[in-house]
Amino acid sequence: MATITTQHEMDRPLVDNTIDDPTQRAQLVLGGNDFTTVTDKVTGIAAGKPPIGWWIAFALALSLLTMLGALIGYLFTTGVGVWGNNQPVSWGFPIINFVFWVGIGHAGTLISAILFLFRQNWRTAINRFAEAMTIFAVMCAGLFPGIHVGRPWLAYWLAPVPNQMGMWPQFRSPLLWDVFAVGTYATVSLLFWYVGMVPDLATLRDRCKNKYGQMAYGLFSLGWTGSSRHWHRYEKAYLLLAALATPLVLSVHSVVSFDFAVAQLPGWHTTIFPPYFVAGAIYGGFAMVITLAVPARYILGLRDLITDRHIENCCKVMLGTGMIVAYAYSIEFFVAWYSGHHYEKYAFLNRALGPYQWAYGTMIFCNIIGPQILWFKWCRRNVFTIMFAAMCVNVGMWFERFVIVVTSLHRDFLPSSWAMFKPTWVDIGMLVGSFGLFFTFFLLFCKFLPVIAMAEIKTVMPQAHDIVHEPGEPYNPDEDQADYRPDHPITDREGR
Amino acid sequence: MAHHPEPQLKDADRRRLGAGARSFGWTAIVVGVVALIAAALLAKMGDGGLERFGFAYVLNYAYFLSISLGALCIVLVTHIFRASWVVVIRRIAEVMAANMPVMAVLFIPILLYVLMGDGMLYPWAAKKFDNPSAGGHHASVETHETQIVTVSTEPAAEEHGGHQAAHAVEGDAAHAEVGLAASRDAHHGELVDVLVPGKRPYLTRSFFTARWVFYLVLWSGLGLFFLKTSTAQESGGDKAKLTRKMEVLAAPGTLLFALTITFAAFDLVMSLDPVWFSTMWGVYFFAGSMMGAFATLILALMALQRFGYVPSVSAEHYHDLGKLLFTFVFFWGYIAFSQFMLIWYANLPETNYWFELRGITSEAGSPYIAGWTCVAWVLLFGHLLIPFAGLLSRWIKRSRKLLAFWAIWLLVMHWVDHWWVVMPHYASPAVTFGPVEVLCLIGVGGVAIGGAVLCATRQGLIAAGDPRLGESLSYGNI
Repeated sequence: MATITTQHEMDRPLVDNTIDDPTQRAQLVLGGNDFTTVTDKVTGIAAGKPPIGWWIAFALALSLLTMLGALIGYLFTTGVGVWGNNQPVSWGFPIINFVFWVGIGHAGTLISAILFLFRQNWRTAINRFAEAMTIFAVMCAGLFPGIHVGRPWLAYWLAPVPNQMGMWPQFRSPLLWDVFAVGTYATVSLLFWYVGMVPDLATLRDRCKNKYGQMAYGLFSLGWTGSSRHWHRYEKAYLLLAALATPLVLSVHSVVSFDFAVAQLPGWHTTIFPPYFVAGAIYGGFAMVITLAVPARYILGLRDLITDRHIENCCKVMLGTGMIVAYAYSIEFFVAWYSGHHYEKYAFLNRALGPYQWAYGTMIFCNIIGPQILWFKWCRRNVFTIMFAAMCVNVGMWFERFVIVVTSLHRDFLPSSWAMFKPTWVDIGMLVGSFGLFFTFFLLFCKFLPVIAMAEIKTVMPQAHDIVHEPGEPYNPDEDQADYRPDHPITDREGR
Repeated sequence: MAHHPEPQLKDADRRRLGAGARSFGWTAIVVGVVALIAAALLAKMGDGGLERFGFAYVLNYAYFLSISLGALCIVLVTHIFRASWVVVIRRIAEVMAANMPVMAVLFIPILLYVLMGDGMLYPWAAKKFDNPSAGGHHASVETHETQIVTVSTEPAAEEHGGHQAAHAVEGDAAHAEVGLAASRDAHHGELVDVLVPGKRPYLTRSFFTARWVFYLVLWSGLGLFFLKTSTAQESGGDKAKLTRKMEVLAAPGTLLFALTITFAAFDLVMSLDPVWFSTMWGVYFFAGSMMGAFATLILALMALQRFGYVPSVSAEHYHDLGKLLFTFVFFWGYIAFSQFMLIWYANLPETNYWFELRGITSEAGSPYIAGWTCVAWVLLFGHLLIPFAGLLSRWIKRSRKLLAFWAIWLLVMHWVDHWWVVMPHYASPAVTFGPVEVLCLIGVGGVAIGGAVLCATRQGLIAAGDPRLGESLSYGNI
């Protein structure tokens, strides 16, 4: 991976595109880039040799992944007793990690699908790796229920496979709905990510000098030539996949929330769970997007493509979804009191004041208090405050699931059945190891695939629009608004 | 190559509503007031008494309030997103949101019902409720004992016997048998006895009044601020600066809006039954509100265009409004389904009776499987499935006639939704629909619409001073 940032680039004053001026749209690609330099930058990452930092990160991630593999081996040979799960907290770390990782994936789908439908053109710089993040997060998520079934060699029983035993999954269980919801989500996300990548894979194919690379990129770029017909089909498919992926943003985490909310357990059974989980998922997902994007733009030299404005917008989305999460926490608490229901009230007081108050306190601080700094613009522009807020949310969203799962289960109705939950070293090792899985794939993605949607980002550049420049003519950003208008009106003003 | 010429407003876009609109507005208000008086008299003279009038009034007030609140949310959120597509049509939403002072005046009858203190409309507002010892066998607030709550309704007393027996063995609770619901006698009779003492600090007449004063002042303030600031852009203010002012205020404004619409929904509708609770309730009310507001916005724009106003509103704007209408049809369905499914699945007696009262029960032979059951089916198909299919296609959203059809359809369904939510507290399984409800609809609607039209005559119909007007005039859908 070649170092892209040249001395010249470091010296030039960075344009501040975070200023909100209603009279014009901010530029989304800075640094005087044109189509060629964008392609050079992005393909350079995949074609060049990786910097030493990449190797260090990859070695670390791979060792964590190896540890995860070893722990899974230990789990399979010994049994789920190696975990801390036990009555009454029979759902411990595995379900917490599952919900945590599924949630992370949601930001990718939101960016690629919903922001696309909302014509939020700034998404073009971050959608590719956010989608990649989705795929890897769903892989981490799918792992945990898969290894939690007790007899993992029978995990295929989760699927409704016709069989001579006449045995079917329990269709009334939300855990089975999860299999369908997450399965659909993984499939559509993978398709969406791959379809969006085809033109860029073709670019890599054309630029690749290595024979095996040419074959691999050639295979996966599906014979893309960039003809008008290809583009037409591509745009149609992309729009349809965006529309299909949009309800999935809601459905997946709603179904995950049903795992809890259909029960009668106080703290789990509450009607706001579906939208609250969705908001929390996007919240956690955006925190992960920021966690990955902020270092990546420095290390990979992408500061002109993923600009301060992109990061600021991510911070705003994170703040907004965080406020929805705060709303849900407050309403849950209020209604627990308002219900006048003994068990409801107890469940919530026990969260805040019971033996797990440290977890609750961590959750409240990390999810509700810490990220409030993002109301201030300077905090959305300072790399340390941004990373502080994102790290808060990463931690806080994991603890949110911990609070929901553990505090509700450990003290339910009968005090005689109360007990504390303690994770074992295997629990903790697998949580850490799942980050190894995630980062190993993510780093491989950064090395071998186009990390930025080159074809899409070019559409938000002014060169794609109103002005045709003479070759060699310097681009003057004041000449026109840099706004993305991919779709000039094709109808007459009056109607159809 | 040169710039595309910046698109301009047409002269007719700057036309203001004239004397005709003013007289329409005043006529609507007069008709509304007359209709309300007629409804009250009709109800008083026998058709259910003032109680029925009260329920019919709350139903229609909630309906029109929700539309104004939805419009306020449209204004707030589009500012947060720096949306430009909306600029051409935003003034109408601003006017709908700025109608809040009228909604505040319309709230007075509900306040009177509450302050009268007989618990006719809101059982918790009864004076007897103030004195915990009146009920005799209730636990006091301090004891924090469980209140096991069961439903007893006169026509269904036998059927519910089993439920009550089940509760009797559960927990160490003091029992509060709540005769909410169905019959009117339940409202007047033992209901006053049966409180959930824990809620007493929240559900009081004075706190309710204070909360509503706060909500209405806040909403009026927000609505008028956005209308005034947006109008100031046309009359020579610093356009960019004023837009920034609105954008900056929109974020905390949305936060306050979310909290107030939630608690308003709890107070106005959910507390008609002081026992029932659902954390989703605020979101449910919000989802319907947004759908109602988009449908109203579409119809208001079409009505104005019929008379030659706002000609620059194009198929692109209708297309986007149609997409958002579709979005909130879907979102309402998602929220309504989630709320229903979770309560149905857990089947806890303290919440599931709410659906039973509305005709949704799997208990064979339940007397509640009657009229409200049909209404529930109408909602499933009419509020979700049919319009979902109907609004899916692109060409439908771009066809004015079809979009108008769906907007009217959904406004009717939005009313049916409120009707199904509010009226079963007045009577169930009997379905109440008659001249009192219709007159109240005309009454509250006349005053609300009349107020909005009068408000609309005071400024231009397009936010012509918005710096993003050019983008709004020139964008296109894929």
